[in-house]
Amino acid sequence: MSRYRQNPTIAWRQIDDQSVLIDPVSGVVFVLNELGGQVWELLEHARDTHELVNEVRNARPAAPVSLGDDIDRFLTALVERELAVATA
Amino acid sequence: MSTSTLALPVGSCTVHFHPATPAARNALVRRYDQHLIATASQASIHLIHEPRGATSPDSVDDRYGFQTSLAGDRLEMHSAVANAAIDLGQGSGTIQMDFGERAADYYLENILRQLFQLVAIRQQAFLVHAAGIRASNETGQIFAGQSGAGKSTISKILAVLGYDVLSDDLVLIEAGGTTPRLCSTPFYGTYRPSTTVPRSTDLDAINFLQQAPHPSAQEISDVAVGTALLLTNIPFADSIDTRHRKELIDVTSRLIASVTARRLAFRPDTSFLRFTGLPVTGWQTKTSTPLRKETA
Repeated sequence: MSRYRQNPTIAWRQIDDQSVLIDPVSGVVFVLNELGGQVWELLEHARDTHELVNEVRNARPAAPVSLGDDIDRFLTALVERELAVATA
Repeated sequence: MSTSTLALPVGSCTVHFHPATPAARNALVRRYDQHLIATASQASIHLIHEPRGATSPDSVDDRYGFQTSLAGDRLEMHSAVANAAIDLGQGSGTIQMDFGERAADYYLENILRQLFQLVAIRQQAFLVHAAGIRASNETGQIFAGQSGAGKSTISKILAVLGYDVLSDDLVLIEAGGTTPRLCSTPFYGTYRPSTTVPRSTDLDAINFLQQAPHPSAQEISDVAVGTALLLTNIPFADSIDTRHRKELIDVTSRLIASVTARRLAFRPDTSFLRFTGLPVTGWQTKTSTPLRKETA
């Protein structure tokens, strides 16, 4: 199973309940909601989808059953935008 | 804070408050805690808790409208949910409202924004509806505009990039000295600055925000700058007397003569930065040192 982590060149900061990410090359700004921000912070260290789902569900017991799919799609979006990178 | 009087400083302008009840004190501390200083000042504005029962602030249609009058030193503000009578010369008076309501934060802030504007004008300073930032070289810029112009967006972007955000909504400019100073305020929009934000810095440039598909900057005339500054000022001009109006124009004129001003078209990314003259930091290339990351 692939593992993912933050692209270390991305500048980011948590501001209130949002995580604001900036790609230093394109200058594009991304704003993540609370759940996205939680996953983003977990990606400071390489994790696979299963680990992410477990950690998010521990923090949010009421998370929907589709959480795994949601995180999968989110990871794909992060990688497509080069905000996160897949590791071995 | 156990002292009965609390000072709220904004730049060199300070207003003292005496919360007459725990409800009034709690409302003041809840909103402005990090900015309040315990003081023993005698002259102060008494905050009087006046429960409104069934007619709570939340049930009022026009929560934000105040009838304001200023005659000499006497400022009076009346609305369905709050009343204020303040002697600007003495720094004393009363603010009465239902401080028990959480919504009272906003009514109190409405009064304080106008109060501080009048106090500031008397000290060759004024509040501007703008985001204010300080760069690493200790220079400051403001990004002015009405609600929705992008002040909070720019504040968040610049916060991520390591600039100090003094406020994302209302800053104080002191124009009495040789160099205009940009000061933080406790009045913010959607982005609450951290407690470590510097209190002031030199002001180097004024940017009037305009959202656009392509970023650009355009110099604007002194007359346009003056007009725009007055228009972006908090809306109390209808009630202001001739003396304060003249002082406001004098202060604005002094400011225009000493800072760069431009109209800044921007979209919500970092492309606007190259038009601002703000110092380049390491975040801009992948090979340079990554920006420090911090969690607010």
